[in-house]
Amino acid sequence: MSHGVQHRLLVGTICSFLLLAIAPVSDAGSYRARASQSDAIVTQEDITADVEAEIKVGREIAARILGRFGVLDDTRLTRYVNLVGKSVALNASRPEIEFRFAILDTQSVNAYAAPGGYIFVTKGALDLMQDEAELAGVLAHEIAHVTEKHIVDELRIRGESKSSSAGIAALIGGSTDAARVALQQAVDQAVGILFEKGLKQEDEHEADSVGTLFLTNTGYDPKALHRYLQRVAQIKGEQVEVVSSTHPPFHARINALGSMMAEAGMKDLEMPRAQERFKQHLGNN
Amino acid sequence: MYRVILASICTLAVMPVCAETLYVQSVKAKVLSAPSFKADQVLELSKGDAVELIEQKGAWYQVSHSEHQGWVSRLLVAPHPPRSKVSYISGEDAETIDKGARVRASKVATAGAARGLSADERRRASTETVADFFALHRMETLSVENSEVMTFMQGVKQ
Amino acid sequence: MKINRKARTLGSAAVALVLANVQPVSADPFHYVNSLVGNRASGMGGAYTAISDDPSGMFYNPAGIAYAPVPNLSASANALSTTDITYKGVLGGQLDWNRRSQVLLPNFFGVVQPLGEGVIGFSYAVPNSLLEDQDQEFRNFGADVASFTVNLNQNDNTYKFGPTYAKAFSDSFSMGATLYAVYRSAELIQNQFVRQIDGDVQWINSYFELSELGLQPTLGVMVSPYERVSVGATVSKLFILSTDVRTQGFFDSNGNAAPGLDTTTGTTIINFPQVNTFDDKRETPWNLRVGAAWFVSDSLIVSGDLSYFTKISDEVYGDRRALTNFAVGLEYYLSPTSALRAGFFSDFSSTPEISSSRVNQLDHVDLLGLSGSYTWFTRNSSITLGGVFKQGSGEAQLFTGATSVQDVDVVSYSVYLSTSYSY
Repeated sequence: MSHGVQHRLLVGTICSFLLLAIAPVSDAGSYRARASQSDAIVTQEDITADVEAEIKVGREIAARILGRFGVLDDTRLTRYVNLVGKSVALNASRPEIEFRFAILDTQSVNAYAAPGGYIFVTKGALDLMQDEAELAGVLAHEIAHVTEKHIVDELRIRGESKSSSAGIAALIGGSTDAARVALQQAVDQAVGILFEKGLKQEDEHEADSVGTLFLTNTGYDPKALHRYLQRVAQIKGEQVEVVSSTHPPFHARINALGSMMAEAGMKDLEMPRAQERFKQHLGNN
Repeated sequence: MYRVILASICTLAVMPVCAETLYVQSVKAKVLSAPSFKADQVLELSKGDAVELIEQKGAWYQVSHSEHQGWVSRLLVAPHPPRSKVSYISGEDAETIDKGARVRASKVATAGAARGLSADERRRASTETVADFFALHRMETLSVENSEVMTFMQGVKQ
Repeated sequence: MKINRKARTLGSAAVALVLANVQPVSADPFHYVNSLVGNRASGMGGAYTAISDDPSGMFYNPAGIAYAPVPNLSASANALSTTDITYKGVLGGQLDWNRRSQVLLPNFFGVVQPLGEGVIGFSYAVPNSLLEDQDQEFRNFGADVASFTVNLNQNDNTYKFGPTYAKAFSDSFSMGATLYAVYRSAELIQNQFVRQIDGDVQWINSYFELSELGLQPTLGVMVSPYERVSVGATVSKLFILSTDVRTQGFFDSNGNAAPGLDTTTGTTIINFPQVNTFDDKRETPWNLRVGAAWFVSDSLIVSGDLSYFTKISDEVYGDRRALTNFAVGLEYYLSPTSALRAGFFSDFSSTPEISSSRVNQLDHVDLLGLSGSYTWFTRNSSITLGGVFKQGSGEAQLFTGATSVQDVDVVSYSVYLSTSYSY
């Protein structure tokens, strides 16, 4: 080979190496993420393990919610709530979650979601609703907490990897567990004291938007959740505590949801509220 | 001759531009002509349908499916096909959290473990130590057939 | 060290018996890069100042942990290290004297997790560790030596543990600090017994024990001046707060007194064991590290470090020169589940170069090293198998009071197994 060709071959090889090595640039600051942190490494078993871990934690929380308030013993009404809820769930994401619904026997106006798809709504909340779309809206908000994994992310719920190299890693790295747990507990204490009130308000805003979207996709009136929140804000009035700077008043959420709906073009949609069916089921109580 | 080899090495080395395939996760998803709910419907997709991503605009994806093109909500699609339901393998209904779940046990008992509609009740709900696994079991065994739900859903009319 | 000034030398130049000027094999006083520490950093030759975004970062550049890609991490490492030193032709001008240290220990663990707007962590490192246990007998060498028995037991370990806190002020600027409590414990026991052909016998026994307690703060910054490029800098110094040294020496002999001894009576000489204690603190250098890393893609990182140590004047423990060590390393992912790392680094001697006109000088061996590792990844954990190899040649003055200089070869290798978790 002549020197000229050798030179070109060398340049070509270097070019190829660089081209292979340089991947498209992702968002700023995340260049530190390594290939082992990408989704490419996640196996089907990992995902199943994750969901199982989520359900396991969710059940514990659900049991405590049930224990605290007591479940309303009304099979027919519970079944109805499940039918509404599961309709919305079908029109949401995360089909791997089996969403379940129960009614809490209390006059307070509230609804709860636990990881793994355990959703609760209070009798007081049901009494405040005026149509099925509003019920669907409230359930959609709770379903959104689960589909957007707000709690899973905050508690960092993860499944155990079942591969052999993970097992070896656990065996060898065992000495770090004590230190890890000790640090974790110490930080938990600190965080609990300093940041206890710091529940993410953006999670609530997101659940409102996402929930309203699921509501729309199911075929209900998109304004239903917004309408219900307005009614709750009116009734709760001064009862809504503003406990810290991280907890904005109720109407901030209502305003934010209103803006989102306007932007998404939902405000002028005329869609069903299923008032008749709702009254049928609730009228008997 | 060498130039040809160089050219082909360089071409092979270029990263192909991937068109991303997305799959519908919800039982149905409307594809609209514009990124707004006011727009006309182009077509309605079903769970598992594959679409090609063209562009993203806020919470909307512009996608193509067969010969159709339109906008679908970002929340209803994902880069993987819909997964089958994961059922919980019930062990003992112990009060303690299994360490295999890698959960920070103390966090479960503190505020934030449950998400509610208004915050004031949340803390009280989760610091209680009483748990009702019997009611939980009944909640889990209440069976509602998918066909029943589908029928119910069709009945959403004024 | 004082101990060596007080020890006795035996034998004529021809016999050259030695070894009162025994220096530690490879531990702290003469080199600054004794063990590479940390899962990822070790594979990359320690060129980690601009990366440091996982628990081992607490040791190199605390500012880096503010950018840990996964917030909760822990890591641990276990290493088997061996160092061989050969003093060439020192016994009777013919035989080599070999010394070997071999030690197996966990040499790092660390955990990090978020706290408020920053990241907090805790780590434990054993950057210097040596364990030497030697029993050797040499026969019939030199002009007049029938047998020479040497027993040498040495251990010297430095333990560092403490917290780290770091905060990212933006995507491209972070600061952090580590505060280590440092404990060093060293012990050297020597026993040498010579029987000459004419029946004369000499015996030396010496004992040296040291413990040091100190604090070592490290302050670090990390800056990203361009996309995918990170630059880091740290400054650190070990402040020794207390030192306890105890030495004891004993010499016995029969027959003709050998030249070089204090006493000249020519009769049986017995020196009662002398026990000395002192608490002089060792002078320590300031260390400034600067590093740069190019995160070429999510599969490739290339990085380089320079580490500068200041000069020391220390009458008790010996002067040290200023020096700069370098390191270059790379990390390459073969697939999302496996990665290779490689590094090349220097470990220069901090002792001054040996001059032929002075006596009692400390060993001077400059070392260069290569490192490599292979890692398997699962979603939450990884396991790494790696190795480090160091080698160098230099000089020593083994014989107290003599200007002769010996050639020294050092070979050091270590194998380690380490793991990391995200949780």
